[in-house]
Amino acid sequence: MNIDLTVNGKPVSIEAEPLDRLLDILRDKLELTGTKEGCGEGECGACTVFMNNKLVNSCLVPAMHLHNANVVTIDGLRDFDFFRFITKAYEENGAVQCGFCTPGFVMSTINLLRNSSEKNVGDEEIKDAFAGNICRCTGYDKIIKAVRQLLTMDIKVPERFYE
Amino acid sequence: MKEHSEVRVDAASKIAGIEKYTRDLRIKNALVAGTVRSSKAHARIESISYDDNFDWSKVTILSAKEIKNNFVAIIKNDMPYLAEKEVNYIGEPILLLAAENETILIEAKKHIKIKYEELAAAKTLKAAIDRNRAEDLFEEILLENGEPEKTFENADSIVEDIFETGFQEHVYLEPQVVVAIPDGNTIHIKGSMQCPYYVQNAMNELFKGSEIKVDVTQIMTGGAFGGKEDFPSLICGHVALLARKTGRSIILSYNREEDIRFTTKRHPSRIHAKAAVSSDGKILGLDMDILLDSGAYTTLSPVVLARAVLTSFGCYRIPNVRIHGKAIKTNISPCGAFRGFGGPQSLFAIEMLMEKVAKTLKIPVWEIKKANMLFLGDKLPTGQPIDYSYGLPQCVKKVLKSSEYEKKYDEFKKYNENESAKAGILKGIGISLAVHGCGFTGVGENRIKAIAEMELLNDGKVLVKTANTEMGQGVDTAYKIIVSEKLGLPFKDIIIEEKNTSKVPNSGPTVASRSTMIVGKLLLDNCEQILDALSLNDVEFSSQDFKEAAIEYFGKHDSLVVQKEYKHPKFIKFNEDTYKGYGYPVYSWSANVAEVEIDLTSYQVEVKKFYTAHDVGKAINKQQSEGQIQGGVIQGIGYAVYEALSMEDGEVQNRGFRDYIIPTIQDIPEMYVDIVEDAYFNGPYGAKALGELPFVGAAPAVASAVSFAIGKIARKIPLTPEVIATLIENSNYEY
Repeated sequence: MNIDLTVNGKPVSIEAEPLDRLLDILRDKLELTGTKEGCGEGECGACTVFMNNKLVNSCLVPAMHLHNANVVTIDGLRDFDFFRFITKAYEENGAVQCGFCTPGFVMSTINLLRNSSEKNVGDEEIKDAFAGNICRCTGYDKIIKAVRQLLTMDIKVPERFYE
Repeated sequence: MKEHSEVRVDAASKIAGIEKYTRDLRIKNALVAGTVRSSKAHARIESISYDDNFDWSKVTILSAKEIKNNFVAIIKNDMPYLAEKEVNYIGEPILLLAAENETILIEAKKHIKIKYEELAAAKTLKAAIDRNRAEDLFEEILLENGEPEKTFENADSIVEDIFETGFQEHVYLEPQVVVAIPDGNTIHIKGSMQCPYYVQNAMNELFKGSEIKVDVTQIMTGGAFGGKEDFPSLICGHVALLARKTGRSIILSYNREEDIRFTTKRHPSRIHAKAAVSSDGKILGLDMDILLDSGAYTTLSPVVLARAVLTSFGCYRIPNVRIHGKAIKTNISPCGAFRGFGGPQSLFAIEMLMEKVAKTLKIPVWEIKKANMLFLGDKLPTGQPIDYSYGLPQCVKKVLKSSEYEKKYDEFKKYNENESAKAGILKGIGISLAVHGCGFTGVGENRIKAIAEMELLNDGKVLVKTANTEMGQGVDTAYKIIVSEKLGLPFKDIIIEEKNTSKVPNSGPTVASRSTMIVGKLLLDNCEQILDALSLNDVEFSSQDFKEAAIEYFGKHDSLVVQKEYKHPKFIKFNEDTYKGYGYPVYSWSANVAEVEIDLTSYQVEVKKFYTAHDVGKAINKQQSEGQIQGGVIQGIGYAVYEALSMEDGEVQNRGFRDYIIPTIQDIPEMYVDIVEDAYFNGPYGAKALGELPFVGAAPAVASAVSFAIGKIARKIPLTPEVIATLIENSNYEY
């Protein structure tokens, strides 16, 4: 089937089977390899992307649901101004080790930042925001510190991307 | 050396998602590979048949018959790349397939029928022990010291129990993946791996006698933890063989289910430990029988067992010992390297034996541990004196202070007596002392003869050439710090060479927490060699002076490449027959306190707080060192509480993250990390091992806290709700 969708602000038209995964379409057809596959069953969050402005595990989204969808990946976000604050906070707090889960954590971070300010976000809310991301290297502590630091800053993250 | 907390050199590219992992490489015109596996734990292969109605023209099939040197070169070379006549575990590779896409592979597998004649199998460690066959013994080690027999005869009391630890899956976030790219008579292998030279060596053996040459490149690796130490040699052979046969590039990429079911695991253990104890709680003798369930092939089991034996006395002064270790073959997927490498199993046993001694003598456990802890200058049962770089006493001091262990010990006791029934929660606090022998066991380092190389470039930059791979632990950044500190160069002038076996010398595998201590020291030596050549040794110089000296050097010379080979200091000797001498050149130490709560309705153990102090000689990068400690502790908590790999009838039952539970962000305790730096004279700036130690002490601290909470010895991990329920409800549970 032919599917028209928008990926990182660009209209694309692709040929895919109905059950092809969004993850494979991004990585193999569109060469957007920033999004990773860790488990293929929606548990680890390494493949997290925005679809119609909501976080989804792209390994669980079949092509047949993609018609007219607006998909935004880490590859489409790294050049936004706010992204350098995220980079700085992750770097300074040592929130990265092997890095394979990191793009997924960054996507969840962006989602948290645009929906919150420090006032309503405690550690429990931070933990809730990353309940769908697994990291095996860091023990999470330094990721939480990076996110806490970001929440204290006045970072302007758009409500929606590429719309 | 000043304190460093440098930003990792690879952080920005990983955060932005532009770092290239193996599956991100775009390999042109590649076929995908798949594996046809045994469905029997032990059987003779009677026949393999291919459905005539299937179109086989699109599939390349490779069988054992086509492999001349059909063994994965490692220690005993007993594991074939593909089984030919006999299979020894469920999941053992029998055939390799290659096709244009995954869909064809899945279809093709349905049209292959393998007929077996089943043979007797030992699907559990117990079955293998009961069968008691000499050929199932992969390795046996006996370490004796003093007069163990007499000590046990004369002891005031003997305390004993059987301690058990389970399988553990590494759960590196990036599953196993390797590629082979044929190029004339050369095959380029690239992939996610720890040890490119292990793979190189295996490929040299595989293609010995043929015209094929192989080179191996490690690609940025998304976590490994030992899981990419020995295992990649097997699958690199698979892709290399397929590449040779098809003339096409081959990608072999395991999905999570295949990875969890068929790759190596941590060795389960069953350890019968006995202590001869004086009435005041002194451990006079230790007798241990260590059994490691090794799976169907030897892999690294002999060295895993060696570390288990040499870790079995923990951090204690025990004059009389008999430690008897066996690595035993079973018909399950082979076990392999995993962070800690045998240490976590025997350290769990000795720490829980201390719990049992305390309980038996009705003395608080910390009193027992304190009374038996090594003093500086004491000798281990191997005869090795602990007379340098012994920071454990400082670790203990720090962790007792940060955790307020002694105060909480009394508070929690009172809480459990008076309030727990009403609250439905039991509280526990536990303490563990942990040790990790730094680097290879025994004479391993002298055998491998690690070489590091450094090249001065004509623009005054240096090129660092080692085979030590970045898998998340931060080795590239640590090396830059070491070199930058010595040569006064900024990071940008220190270039880390690609980990390609045709470009870097064999500086040994990235294992055993050796990369900083051993290879980092070689790099420091390389720096000295370069400074010598530039006549800058023993003088103050700026980075500008260095640049100018380099330019001057290249005015007279064409190149400057320096090499250094590692050798232990002369007095570091080890006898592999008696297990006497220096098991390791030095040890890293930790003291750990865990606070837990157990919900009396769900029996779930929750680790609320974790305090640790680690003596690592020198934290080359403070922040990344903390990160290693935190990550290792959480992985150890997973080992202690959550990670139950279910093996039934010889087969892994878990299929992925749904049913193999590792700690998530919701499960982590508050963590307090202290670093102690009791320098090691032969490490770079005093550094010794770091990567594995955090894992080793975590599970015993948690199990100690659980034992406190329920008043019985938690002698088996993982402490899942089922195990906790049994412990609490079943009064006959104890040995």
